[in-house]
This record gives sequence, C-alpha cells and structure tokens, in this order.
Amino acid sequence: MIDSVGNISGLLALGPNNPLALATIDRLAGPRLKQAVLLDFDAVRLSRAAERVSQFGVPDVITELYHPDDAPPQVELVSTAFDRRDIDVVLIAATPTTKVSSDQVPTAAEVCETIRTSLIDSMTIAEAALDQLIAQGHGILVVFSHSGLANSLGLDRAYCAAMAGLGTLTSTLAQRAEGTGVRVISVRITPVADPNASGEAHSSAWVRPVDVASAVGAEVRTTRRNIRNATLTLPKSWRRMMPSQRN
Amino acid sequence: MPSTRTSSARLPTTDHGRIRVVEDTVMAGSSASGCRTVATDSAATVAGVRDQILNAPKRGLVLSEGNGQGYGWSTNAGGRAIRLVGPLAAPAVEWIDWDRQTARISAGATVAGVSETLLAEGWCLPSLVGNPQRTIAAMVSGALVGPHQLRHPSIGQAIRAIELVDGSGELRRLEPTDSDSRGFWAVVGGVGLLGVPTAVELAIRPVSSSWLLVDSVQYDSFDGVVDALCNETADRYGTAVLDVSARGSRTGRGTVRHARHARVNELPPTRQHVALAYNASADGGRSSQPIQAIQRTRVGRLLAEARYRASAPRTDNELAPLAEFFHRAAIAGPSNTPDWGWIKYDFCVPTDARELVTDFIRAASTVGVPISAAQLTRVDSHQAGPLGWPSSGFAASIRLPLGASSMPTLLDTFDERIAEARGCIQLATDTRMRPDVLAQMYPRLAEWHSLRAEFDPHSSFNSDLARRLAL
Repeated sequence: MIDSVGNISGLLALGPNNPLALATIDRLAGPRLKQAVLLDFDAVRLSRAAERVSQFGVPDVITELYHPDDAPPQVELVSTAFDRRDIDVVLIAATPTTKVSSDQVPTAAEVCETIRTSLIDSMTIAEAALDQLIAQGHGILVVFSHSGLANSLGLDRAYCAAMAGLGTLTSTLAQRAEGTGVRVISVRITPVADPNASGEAHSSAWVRPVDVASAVGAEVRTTRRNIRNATLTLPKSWRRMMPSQRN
Repeated sequence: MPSTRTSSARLPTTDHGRIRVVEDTVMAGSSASGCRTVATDSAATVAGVRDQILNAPKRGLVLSEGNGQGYGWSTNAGGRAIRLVGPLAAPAVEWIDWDRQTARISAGATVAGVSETLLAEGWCLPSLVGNPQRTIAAMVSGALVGPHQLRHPSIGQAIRAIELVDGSGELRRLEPTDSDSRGFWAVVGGVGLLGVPTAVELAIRPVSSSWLLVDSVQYDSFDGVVDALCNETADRYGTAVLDVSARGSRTGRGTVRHARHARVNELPPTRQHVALAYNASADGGRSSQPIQAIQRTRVGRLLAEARYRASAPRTDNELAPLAEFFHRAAIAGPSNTPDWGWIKYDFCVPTDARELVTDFIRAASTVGVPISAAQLTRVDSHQAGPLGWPSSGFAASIRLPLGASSMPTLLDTFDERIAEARGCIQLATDTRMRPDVLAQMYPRLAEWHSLRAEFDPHSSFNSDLARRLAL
C-alpha cells in the first residue's frame, strides 16, 4: 500500500538494469519498501540489477527471468508476483540498445528482436500488470519511453522506434486505468546521460537518470494534484518546445 | 479530490436483506496513487450482513465509515465495503431507557442523525468527536479521543453493549460486564476487523438544550494550557487549540475551551423554543480551496499569529451549537483525508512525556513542515482494548499539509519517540505509520491478533490499514 506520504511497500520492475529504472528504484526505496520483483530476459543483467537493488536497502529482491516473445508465461509471472503481496509501483523500462558504430546496420533479425523485446514484451507485461493493479484497486504504472527523434542522437533505430511505439500505446493503458484507482504515468524523455551513451557529446537537452527519478518520485508523492494519469516529458524545456509531446 | 460516486444502481432488497447491486464505486481514501476504488454493497438486515461476510471477496470486506471521508482503516482498495442501510440505519434511536440512561442505536445511523434524534428527547451522546457524518459503527470501531470529560474518558466507557456479526457470520452480543469482556474491548477501537456492529447500546446524558456554554481562555505557555486542561470539573468538556505559529518559549501556547451544556433559561429568549433542535448549520462549512492554500504558507502562519493576538484573551459563556464544539475540526476545516492534501497526525503521550507535543511543533518548524492546526486533549486513565490507549496523558491531533519532502522523516522520527515514551499513534486516523513500531506502541497486539483469529477465522475483513500494518 502506498501510504499517505508516498512511501511504497512493493515494486515490480521490467528491465531493472535500465539506468532510469535503477535511479527510480533508488529514489523510491525507503524503510517501507519490503519487496522488489525484477523481470528481465537476460540472466546476467538481471543478477547485476538485483545486486544493485539490494544495495539500495530493499530487504527482499526477487528476480524472475522470462522468455522473450512468449506472452502467457510472462502474464503468469506478473500474476504470481501480485499474488505474493500488493505491488504499489510497476516500472516498465526496456533496456536501451545503442549502435555499436555509426556504420553498422543491424540485420532484420536483430531489428525484430529489439522490437519484440522492447515493445511487444513491454506492452504484454504492462498490460498484465495493469490488470493486476486494477484488481488490487490501487497502484501506479510507470512506463518509460521516448520519441523517435532521439534516433538522431546515437541510439539504435529499432529501439527508438519501439520506444516511440510504447509511448503512443501507453495512452491506451491510461484510458483503461481511468476511474479504477490506478494511475498510469508515461515518462517521455530525450536520451538519458547513461553509461551506455557516455561517448556522446553532452547536450543540454539530455537529462540524467536522477532527474527522471526525481520527477517520478514527485508524482508518486501524494498531493491533491496527483490523482490522475500523467505524462512527464523531460527535460521540461523540451516540453515547452514541443507541446505536442505532452500526450 | 472529494468522494465521487461513479454509479449508483440499486435493486430492491432481497429476502435476506442484502441489497445486491449497489455498485457504488466510491473514489475515496488516501493512496498516493490518487484514489482507490472501493466497491460498496449495502446491507439492510443482519442476514444481509451475514450473507456478505460469508461471500467476502478475496481482498476482504471493510466497514464503510459513512458519508465522511474515509481513512485507511475504512477503505479497502480492490475489495468491498459494507454500508448499513434500511433498518440497520433507521430509526437512528430504537429505544431510550430513561431509568438506565441508555439508548439502543442503529449502527448504520450517522452521529449527526443520532444526535438530532436524542436531542429532540432531551438527551445527547456523552462522547462526540470527528466527522458527524460517520456512522455509529464507525465511531465504535475507530474509538477516537474526543474532548476530555471526567465521567466518560473514552467512547468505550459509554458503551453498554454491542451487537455485531463476526467473521463467521455469527451474531454476537458483547458487553463490558461479560465474564470474558476481552472480545468487547477488542471490538472497541478494533478498526472494523473483528466484525460489523449492527446495534449499539450507549449511555446517554440528559440535556435541556443543544447548546453549550463555552469558556475560552488563552494561555501564553504550553504549561499553562496543560494546567488548565487538568483543572476541570466533572460536568465540563475540555480541549485546547494550540497556536502553531508561536515559537521559542511560547511554543505550545493556545486557547483552552471548556464547555458545559446550557440550560434552557441560559439561552436567549429567541432560542429557547428551539432549545433542543440539532443545529447542523456548521456541517457544510468546509474551507474554500484558496483559504486552504494560504493556510499552508508562511503568510498563513503570520495570519494565524495575527488572529491569535487579535482574539480576546478570555471569553465566558459563549454559546456554541453542539456540532460546532465537538465536530469543529472535522466540519470547519478542510477535509482531513490525504487525497485533499492533508493528513492528521494523532497521537497520545503519557503525562510525563507531554513535551513531545511542543517538540514536534518545534521540529516541524525547523525542518520546514508547516502545521495548519493542532489540538490537545487530556486523557484519563481508563479501561481500553488491546488497540486502545489506557494511560493518562494527552492526545494531540495535528493537521499537516502534504508536500514537504522532510515530512516522512519527521513523522517517522516522532513515531519512534512516541513509542519509546509509551505513547501511541491513533490507528483510526493513521495513514502512514510503519508496521515495525506498532508492536511497541500497542504491547497487547498479540492478544488482539488472537482475538481477531477467533472472531474472524477466515480473514473476511481486511482494509488498507490492515494490509499496511499487517494487522
């Protein structure tokens, strides 16, 4: 249960190795966070993320490996996680993929795999989580995405397309959540200054994971305004430049 | 966000008294995720209540608090709530025993409705507090501490019997004079997790008017306030409103209000012919949003300081309607539920630890957490259940606007200090306490758990508070 001052007791994260997810978990972790369930399809990434999340002081970290593009087991995995205890916040944060070099063109199979893991699996798990949150009657679904414009800044093209699609489809989740007691927060960002993109030149348009985590943390905290679905476009200057990005 | 009902389709009452499809999806509660959905079923008879309990959903049932804003104990996200209607709510007062000064009251009736009915007969409830739109069942289950009065230090002392349907669907009658009264005391203040009260027999006191004569005296120090609260006579109610704008040595200063029921001949002639009418005019008066916004700011604090200085240091025999005196905080201020951006921090501390109240006001000021209102009430040593607080001391009710980032840490720190001082946070209004300090505050928690297992073996009752605190 999220208490009145915004402390959460249970969390589920898809793609916990994503710097945005890690920073957000770090931000949300407090004395009342008893359990974090981490989902990924890559065992190495998953164990690395579990180690980090444990360091944040979460007493019970559960890791679940799922098979990509296999929806029924993924839905079952989410259902099992909610059966254990109430989950207050679900983070959907597909792990970013970057181009190895500018002249490398990914194969069709690689593109398909990226779309499958970053978009289809994310949506499958997000939908399953939303069903569970609605049955639970409370909770927040946070979906990290960004616009395709980011493609010009060094990320993998298929990944950017997947993120743009995910951002668009999130609005359907928000519509389903209306009036159910569940909030959907769509976080749309410019490329994040994460270690994967450390070689890129710094741009003032970039945000740090900690900025994203702060914005999400502020949304989780209770105020009179935090009662509806929201779209966070970061950085805020970007939102001012492109009003169309609000939804 | 105020309570919102998204649908309200009612079908006729069935043979078992259960109104089947009242799918009021009430958006209420205190979740940071905004609102929670609480599907509410209504029950009109004991059989209807039993029917719902025996068919409780997976996430459990909870007793609906009534029309007032709900706290965590009376909300059940994803589950169901039971609202008592029909014969379980009306008539508000089934009978009055003049000899024993006792009334049998429908558990689904609101406190305001009961007060109105009793006053018409020349009686009133001895202990009143909180939102007048709450039901009597919620009042018994919450057992909040109201203005101090020597004869009835708590609502538990005024209850002669409770009839409730437990988690097995069995109708029980519980009295404090039972050879084993543990069940009775576990239900009083049991935050609705042991059963659904269907009727309550309460001690009532005779009155000749619905008005109170209130003496207000300002004291420039916390010690002065405390001394004044401790020097009360038996027939008077006492409570203090602390000036939260005061700093330094004046921290904790405030106005002590003593009240007694006015006799008819003490009323102005124009009011004497309606002396026993329940004046509910104060019920609707919530602060407007702009005023609430100002109250949270430094300007609000300066205004509070100015208001305190401008008010008369002493007023005697000021007439106040019953509702205004007892339910003032609930009806005149903003809604006290977190989805309105406020929370209440209600705690009790023993007399020797009363400085925790002023320490809290100072600490809040230091870390930048504004306080919008604070009340202090004396508590006498009395019999209480495992989730009650039986010691003598003081009960503080502090209203805080949400938003300050340092608030969670501040409240956690004081939770621990209060627990160390053998005080407690009042569960009925708690929306954020950590489960690990609960056992320290309530040393008889294990006894309550065993009684809960006996009353509700299938865990049919559940609430957001119960899940958070693992009750």
